Amino acid sequence: MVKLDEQPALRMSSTVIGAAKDDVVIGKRVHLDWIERSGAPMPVFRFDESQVPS
Amino acid sequence: MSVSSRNPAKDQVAIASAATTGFTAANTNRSQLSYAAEACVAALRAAGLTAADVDGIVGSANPAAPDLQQALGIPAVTYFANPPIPIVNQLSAAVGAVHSGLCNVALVYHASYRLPWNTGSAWKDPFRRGGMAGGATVAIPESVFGSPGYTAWASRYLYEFGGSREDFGLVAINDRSNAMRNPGAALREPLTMEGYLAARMVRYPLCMLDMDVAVDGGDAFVVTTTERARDMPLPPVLINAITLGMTGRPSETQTPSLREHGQQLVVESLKARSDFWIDDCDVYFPYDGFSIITLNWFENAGYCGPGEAGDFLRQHWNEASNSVLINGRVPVNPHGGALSEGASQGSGHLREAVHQLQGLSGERQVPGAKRAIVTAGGFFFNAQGSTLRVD
Repeated sequence: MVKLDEQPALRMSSTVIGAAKDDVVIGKRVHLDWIERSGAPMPVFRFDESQVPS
Repeated sequence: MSVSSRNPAKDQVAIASAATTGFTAANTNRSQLSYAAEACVAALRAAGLTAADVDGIVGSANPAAPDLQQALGIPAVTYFANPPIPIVNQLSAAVGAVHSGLCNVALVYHASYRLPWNTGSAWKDPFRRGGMAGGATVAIPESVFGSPGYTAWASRYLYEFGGSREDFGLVAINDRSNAMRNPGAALREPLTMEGYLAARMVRYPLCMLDMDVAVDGGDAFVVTTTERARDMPLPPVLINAITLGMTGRPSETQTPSLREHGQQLVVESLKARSDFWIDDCDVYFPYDGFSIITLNWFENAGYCGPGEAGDFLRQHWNEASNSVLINGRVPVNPHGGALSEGASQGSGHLREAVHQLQGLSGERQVPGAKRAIVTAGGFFFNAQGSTLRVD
């Protein structure tokens, strides 16, 4: 689940990319990115590199 | 948040009897209807009634009320409903119907059945594939619907309060130790903390033993006016208070926090309506569809503070029985709960509460049990509860 800086009370469930599964823990920062899935653009969240490793 | 204390149905409606088929953690060669029917017949017989005495039918989704009516040969009903699980949804509908006069004798049932969404073997069984109806859906990858939601909030629990998986394990061990004293329970092998920690991780931090065990089986109840129940063979179990609780953002993703969900509302509502609470409770039934739910129920019911449930269980652990005995006196889910008796969506909790108060629980009977609290359901959209007592 991703909390948005722009609207703190709103959460969305999404896919996090750019990190090992075990590194995706509560409190890590991510940013919006786009990938292609089945030929269509899909919003995902990319792990912020600056915080890897925590 | 303010709740009403109005409770004109208090003690006016009773559970006259309860019955179970027992549970099996395997795909049996029986239909879901057959389990519901068997439990209903047993409950009616225990209450000294026949099909012709029933004028209300309230069950979970499958079997639907018309199918159950037909199977049991119930001649006429003036009320029927199939509310969603867990069991307090069915019970509250029956209480309302009986108290309002929509019916006089409501047959309440829930049949548990291993379905394609919760076991691989059920998925491969063509007779079970049709069971996807009734609200169960398969989560899409970007969803935290259902089980993944509880793993997310279990992570949050550990993050906020710094507990450990051993806290969850105590819930599983308590259930298993209790199930060993319940011949109808699906899982009755002893469980140690080492065994719990070695169980297959499904999605951190919840492992196989944190999830209720999928079973085939059924429970049924006869609900009628207290006045009428007093003329039946068993001591009537009076419904002192009953409630559902759902707060403003009742979904896995938008639930504000572990301190703001349906459970707190249920507790506030029951305390406002009921004549007793945990200090006068002889046997406690917190739901345990996932172990994390149980820890939260202890905290929200007021047994301990937020994040303290693991320590609370350790403080009230009875080494001899390898289970929880609150203040050396009050057992918790003595039938084995959903984690070990079987995933009955609360019907096992309610049935055991009735049996305990009627003195029918055999070697696990709480001596002289007079008052029980059932807090069923989880965090988001299905928290609910009831306080039950006998004279």
